[in-house]
Amino acid sequence: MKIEEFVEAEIKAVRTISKLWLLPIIALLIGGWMVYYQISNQGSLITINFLSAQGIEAGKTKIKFLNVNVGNVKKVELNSKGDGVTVTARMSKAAEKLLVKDTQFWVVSPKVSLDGISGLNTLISGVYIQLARGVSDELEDNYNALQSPPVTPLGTPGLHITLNSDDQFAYEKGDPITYKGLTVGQFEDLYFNLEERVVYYNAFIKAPYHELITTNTKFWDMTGLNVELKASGLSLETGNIETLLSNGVTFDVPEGMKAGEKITSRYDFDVYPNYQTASDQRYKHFLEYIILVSDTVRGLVVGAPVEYRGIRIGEVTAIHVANSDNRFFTDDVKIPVLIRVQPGRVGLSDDEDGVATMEKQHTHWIKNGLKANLRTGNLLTGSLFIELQHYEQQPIETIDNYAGYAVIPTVADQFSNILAKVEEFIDKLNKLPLNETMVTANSTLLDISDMTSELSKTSENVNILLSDINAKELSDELKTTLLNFSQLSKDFSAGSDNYNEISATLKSLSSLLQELEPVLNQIKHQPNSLIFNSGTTTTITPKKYSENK
Amino acid sequence: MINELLNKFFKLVFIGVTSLILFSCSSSTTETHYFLLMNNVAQETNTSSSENKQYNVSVEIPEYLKKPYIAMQLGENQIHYSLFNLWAEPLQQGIKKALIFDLNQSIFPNKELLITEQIRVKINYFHATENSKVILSGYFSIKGKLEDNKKPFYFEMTLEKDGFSHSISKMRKLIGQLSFKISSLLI
Repeated sequence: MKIEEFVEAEIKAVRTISKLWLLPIIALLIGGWMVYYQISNQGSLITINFLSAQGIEAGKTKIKFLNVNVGNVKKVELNSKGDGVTVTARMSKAAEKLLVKDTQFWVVSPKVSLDGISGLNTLISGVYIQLARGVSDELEDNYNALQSPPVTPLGTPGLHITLNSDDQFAYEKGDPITYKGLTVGQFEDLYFNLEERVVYYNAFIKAPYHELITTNTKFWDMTGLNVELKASGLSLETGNIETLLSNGVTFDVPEGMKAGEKITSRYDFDVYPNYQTASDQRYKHFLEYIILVSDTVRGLVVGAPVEYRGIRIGEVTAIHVANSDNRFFTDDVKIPVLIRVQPGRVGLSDDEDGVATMEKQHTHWIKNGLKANLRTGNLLTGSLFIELQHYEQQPIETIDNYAGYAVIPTVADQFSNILAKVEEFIDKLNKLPLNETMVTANSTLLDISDMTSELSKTSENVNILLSDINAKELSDELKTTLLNFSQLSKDFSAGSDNYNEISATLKSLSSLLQELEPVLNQIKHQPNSLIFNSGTTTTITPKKYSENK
Repeated sequence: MINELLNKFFKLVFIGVTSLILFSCSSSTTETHYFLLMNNVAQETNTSSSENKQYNVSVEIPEYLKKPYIAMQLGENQIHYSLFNLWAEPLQQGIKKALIFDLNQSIFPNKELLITEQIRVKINYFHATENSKVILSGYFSIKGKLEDNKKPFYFEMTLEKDGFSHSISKMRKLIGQLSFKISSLLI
């Protein structure tokens, strides 16, 4: 083809849009639709207030509900006051119904606690914000995040209660509430009332265990290992493993007590130190007496039992009750101890009638010899308790009064009596002149020792003397003499001929003397009758019987 | 001179003593009689030893009967000892022998029981009286299985002849009455 054959182009005006514009238009439409879709489907924007934004990053941190992303953190900035962080988050459309007034937010991060290890997945994925749905119907878009996950998520079936404690218990959020070893609830939070000096704990009992809570339910501490050494002995009590390592409480209706009415809404309960104290609270009505103690009250504590012949009927309420009445201080200072006796413990009704009956009974007994004394309950710890017992005495007319309370007379404890007697005996023993006695005994022993040594010397001399004598010759002579003596005694022993001869001779002599007796009498009375005849001798003889007599 | 006086003195003494002896020889003498309470000597000897049981008898007599002279009561409380009538053996032994002999002769069937028992007899009075009687009184007891109560006894008999011989015979019979009473307790 040649260059001179170029033809000049003919320019004509286009009157239609180029088909080329379809692409950008289509793209534009698609883009517009996407924007529209995006705008129409995006959720609401909410703000959440945190104390710190640790781990929260704008554009990265998710908001999850039931492990499903329902929102994203868009912006993290300091609040206007500068004491917190405001996090702006875009929620998904589907999550808008979750944004009610009592919806809760908190940051989920790795956590190691007694409850276990949680949030480990956030080590890889990063922290996220957990959402807990509320139950309110009112919508909200501004929230204050929780410092830590709630113990009881909202809507959990169960019962919220308040536990009050003025004792030295320190419970924390999450501490368990157990029932017969099972964890059935937890402490949620606490509030300390400065004026009342009482700590109030909000707690939650999960279903179905919340149905166990009644008006007569008692709560007591079950922290760690509970060891008590008291008048009744050593007691060891513990809950489950969880309470062994942390604090916790347990509950139940005390044995012998009625179940009471079920509780369906928040109710206040007291926390007692142990089961026994909790059980003792069942008795509402009581009588109070004063006991004036002359002995030591060391070992007697508030709460120590008061027993009547071995049966617990009450407890010590106060020791050393102050009173301006000094009537009893003339001889010695008597320590007033306030005791409380409960009619419910002895089978009487726990009401005013029971109190009246018990008062009448005790008044009669006190007038007729009921007395109190301190007894040692545990020799190991020296703990004391009060025993009421009857003693023989003349009836009294009136009962003493102290600070408005009737006084129960006291007697000294038998153990104290024994101790007093032992002390008295030891005092007497100390007063004995043992030193002088010991000195005298020592000198006597020395004298005896000297005497013994002299005796020893004497015996040695005798031995020497004996050894000088011709012992053989002496013993032979002694032997011969003994033999002769033995023969002689044999010859004259009873039954021998010589003995018989001597006996016969003596008998003859005796009879001869008896025969000579009248002669001697005659000579004594008439000495010349031996020579001269004293006249005719009249002989008296028995005569025969004659009627003429 | 002195020698002559001494010789005369000795002669006088010799004559005096001789005279006294002669005077004393002129005094009259009385014969002494000896008596036994046990009068069954021949019978006791002839009885075989197997028939004679050894009763455990003890006899106690008062002091006034321990003399060898036979006693006799005069009046209410006077005792006369006959100097020429004596017991040939101690009266206590005689009473015991007589009592044992009589117990052996007893006719009661249960007399065998008496062998195991101890019979104690205490005599208070055992003599003749001037009222022509002989008396025996006291009490006895039987120990062992039988009761140990004292049983008093009093026996008397009238003399029918004069003389100690008859009175002693009567006294022997009184012992027989005593043994009868003792053995009669076992019926």
